[in-house]
Amino acid sequence: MKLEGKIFLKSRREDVWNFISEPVKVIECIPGVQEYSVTEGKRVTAKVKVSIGFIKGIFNASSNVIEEDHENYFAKLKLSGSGAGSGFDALVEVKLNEVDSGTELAWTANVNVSGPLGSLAKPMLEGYVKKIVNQFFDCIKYKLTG
Amino acid sequence: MEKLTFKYIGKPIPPYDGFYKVTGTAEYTFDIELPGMLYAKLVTSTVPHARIKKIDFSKALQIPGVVKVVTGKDFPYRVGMYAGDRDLLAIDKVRWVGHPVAAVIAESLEAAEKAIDLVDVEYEELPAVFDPLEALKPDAPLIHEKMEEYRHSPAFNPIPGTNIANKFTLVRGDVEKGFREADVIIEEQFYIPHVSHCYMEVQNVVAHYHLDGTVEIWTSWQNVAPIRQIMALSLGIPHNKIIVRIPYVGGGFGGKAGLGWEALVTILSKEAGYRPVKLVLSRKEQFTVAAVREGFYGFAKAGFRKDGKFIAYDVKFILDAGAYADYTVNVGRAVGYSADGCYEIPNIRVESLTVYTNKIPTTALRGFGYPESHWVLEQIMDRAAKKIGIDPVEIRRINLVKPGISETCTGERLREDAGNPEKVLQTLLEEIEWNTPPEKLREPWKIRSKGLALFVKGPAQPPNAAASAILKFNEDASVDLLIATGNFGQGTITALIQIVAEEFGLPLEKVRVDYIKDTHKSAYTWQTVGSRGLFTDGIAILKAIEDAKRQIFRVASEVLRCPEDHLELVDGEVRVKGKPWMKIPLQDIVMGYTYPNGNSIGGPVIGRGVFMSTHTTYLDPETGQGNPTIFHTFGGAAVEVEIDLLTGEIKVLKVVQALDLGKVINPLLVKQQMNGGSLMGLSIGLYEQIKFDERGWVVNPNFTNYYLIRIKDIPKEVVRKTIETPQSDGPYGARGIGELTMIGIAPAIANAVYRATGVKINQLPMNPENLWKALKEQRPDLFDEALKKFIESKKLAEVRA
Repeated sequence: MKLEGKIFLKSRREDVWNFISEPVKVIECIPGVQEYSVTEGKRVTAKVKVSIGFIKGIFNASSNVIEEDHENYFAKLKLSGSGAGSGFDALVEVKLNEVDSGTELAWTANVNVSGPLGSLAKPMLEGYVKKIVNQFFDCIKYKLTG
Repeated sequence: MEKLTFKYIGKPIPPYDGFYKVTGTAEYTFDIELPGMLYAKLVTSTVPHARIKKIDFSKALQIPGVVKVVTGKDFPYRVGMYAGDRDLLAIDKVRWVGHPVAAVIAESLEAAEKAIDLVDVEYEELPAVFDPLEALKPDAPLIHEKMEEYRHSPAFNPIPGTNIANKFTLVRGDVEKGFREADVIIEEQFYIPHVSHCYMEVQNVVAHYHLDGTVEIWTSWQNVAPIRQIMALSLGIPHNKIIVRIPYVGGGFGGKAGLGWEALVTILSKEAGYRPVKLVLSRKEQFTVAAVREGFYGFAKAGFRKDGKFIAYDVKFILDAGAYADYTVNVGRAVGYSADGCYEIPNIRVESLTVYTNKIPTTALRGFGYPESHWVLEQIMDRAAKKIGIDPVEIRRINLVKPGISETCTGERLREDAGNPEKVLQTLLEEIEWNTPPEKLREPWKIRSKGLALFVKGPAQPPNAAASAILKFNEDASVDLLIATGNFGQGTITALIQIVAEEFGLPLEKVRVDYIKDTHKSAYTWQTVGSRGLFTDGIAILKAIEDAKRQIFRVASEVLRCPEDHLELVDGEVRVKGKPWMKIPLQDIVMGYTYPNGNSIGGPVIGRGVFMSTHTTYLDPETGQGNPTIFHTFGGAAVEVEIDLLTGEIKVLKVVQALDLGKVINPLLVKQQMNGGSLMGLSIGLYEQIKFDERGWVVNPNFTNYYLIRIKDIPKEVVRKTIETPQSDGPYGARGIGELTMIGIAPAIANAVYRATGVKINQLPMNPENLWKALKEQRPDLFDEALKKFIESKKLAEVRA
């Protein structure tokens, strides 16, 4: 499924970039994250608690930065993980645009969910993923601007 | 002279192991606990096809109790029985979601389970292919780049540079000419999805690699010998240093016949400092990591004359073998040479391809290719009958093989005593009351119908698959029977005990078979698969009995001063025929006979016997001609079903099974096999299916979402009929039964549906969803009419209310 959105942040573009370039700061915003570590470079592994419908469990997730273009304030990340007999992967693109009195963070995510979790009804799954994504960006917004 | 009356043969003797199972004292591999034993868990791939860039298990090692984490790179072994294509743990790349990439060994299962979540694997994903038809295309991703390096049996034909693990071809007669002469041509495509074996006991292994290089293994598997052979060939351990033990086994159904986890766990034991290691798969892993039955496509073109004669058959089978095809190459071979079923088809061409995909590996399942070939053929027969305008029974009669005269599609002349397929058919017709129309129901959107299917099967085995038996007497003339025949619920051991007791005139309880099969202590048998155990191991035992009797009679003849051929064994005594007062109790002979003065003759009696087929051959690689099997068991299934035209639900009301078993050694066990096989046939025919998503993940790896037959689905009536046309070289004339009982069920149901509605269900399972779709697509009129009747009846009910 493809998801996209934009959020407005009352922070300078450079500050936002510095924030989101720090894996530790970003990872704490993932809903349900229980523990995490930065293994090398910006590769992050984490354990994330997931509860959707009758499927509940801990997901082992990892994130890799596959493109980082400071000049254009563009980054591409690959996320993947598995747990409760299911798996997911997501290709996330983030672009920071300067706007009046702040920064616009535009993002897209191409998410694949596999296994029993992926067999759930699409609206149910999409609703859950959207909820997680919104919580994530709300957290980033809060951490940046209070 | 042939014995006409029996004390035990043909009697409903309860299974010898029932007591232990009912009282919970039967010991399974799961119960094995050894001092200092460690536990292993597998880290499995989350991507279907990828190169392994890095495995970081540093965090896993920090979990208290974790002893070691092992990855595939350090153990570049290739293992397997037929194709030899499997790695112990993924080497360099993974080939399916579920492919083990690492194993954690820990002091406790809990620590191992915790640690596998901390192993971080980085992948570089590769294009994956999930459909075998796609995998056959020239530009398909190549799943095994080094196929030419794999060791394989000479019976198979892998094609390196492609995804074809085995190509089987069979040509007989002139198919094109046959089609030119045909009046009616049927062309159809069929499909069968992957299914799981669903045995109660999951796969589990304990292995102990000793410091002196000896390996001890306990495993929940069907056979001891192939495990030893696989390990010796793959790991280079001498055969006599490998001791494989199999205690009680909670079901196999072919899923515990090929390659197991023994080699891996052996390596883990060595890596863990020569401590014993136990691996137990979870039920989820049974659906995602252990091998399951393959997916199957059948593309068939059949030509008939208008008089009903089947004259040309061109069929292509494509087996979705998944990431590793070890045992499935033999399934591909068996489906190929069984394409002609019970019929004489003068012109036939078969191509059967076993194809790699990025899905779970596959293996044998009860029936071993025969359910697949019969799913295609038996529906073709009914379609052709309808097109020609004759009864489905008539078309079968016209084409049915005649033992002693007919040749199979491999060119093997059926022996005269191969069985009586005509009598099988007749029995089915009588029991299902073929000529009595089914009852019309008060709910007019439901209809009833009857259908049938015939089948034949022999063991799919190499031509040199041998068996042997050793029996030794104890001081009280009780017998220890040393055989390796697998004991996983099918009951063969009980029948083999009956044979020994019968021949020596001993009470059943005086014959003991150790429940643990052991490569060091049990006589060799190739495998217990393919419904062969009673036949091959039974013959070996009869020869061992003959050998022992010779020794006994030699001594008795000296003592009784009577020629050996004047002696007989009755009720545990050697007697002179016609002079029953001249006798010696067996216990006075079996350890040697001692005269009153102390002089002794003879010695401890040990009988040995072997089975080796002398007429089976490899099949010609170009034409598929030869003798592949040691016997054929003919059988048939008939059903009466109730079809709900609104919901697509099929309810099976009655099942009839008829089998020509040559001789029924134990009618109770036969009854249990026929009941069990009928239910398994119904379950696979109507409900079972492993579902994959578009990335190769199994979406129903549990018994909540993978529907198995339940109590409410069991037909009210299961009729079991046996026919006894003895095969002269079988034990008492007997042939195998185990797998047969599920082959005919699915096509019989499909034929019943077709007969009543004209709807073709070419795809298993015949669940409400698939039948409803087929009905709406092929007979919308029937559906609309049923709906109309349903609404009318509801309105009527309202008015009445």
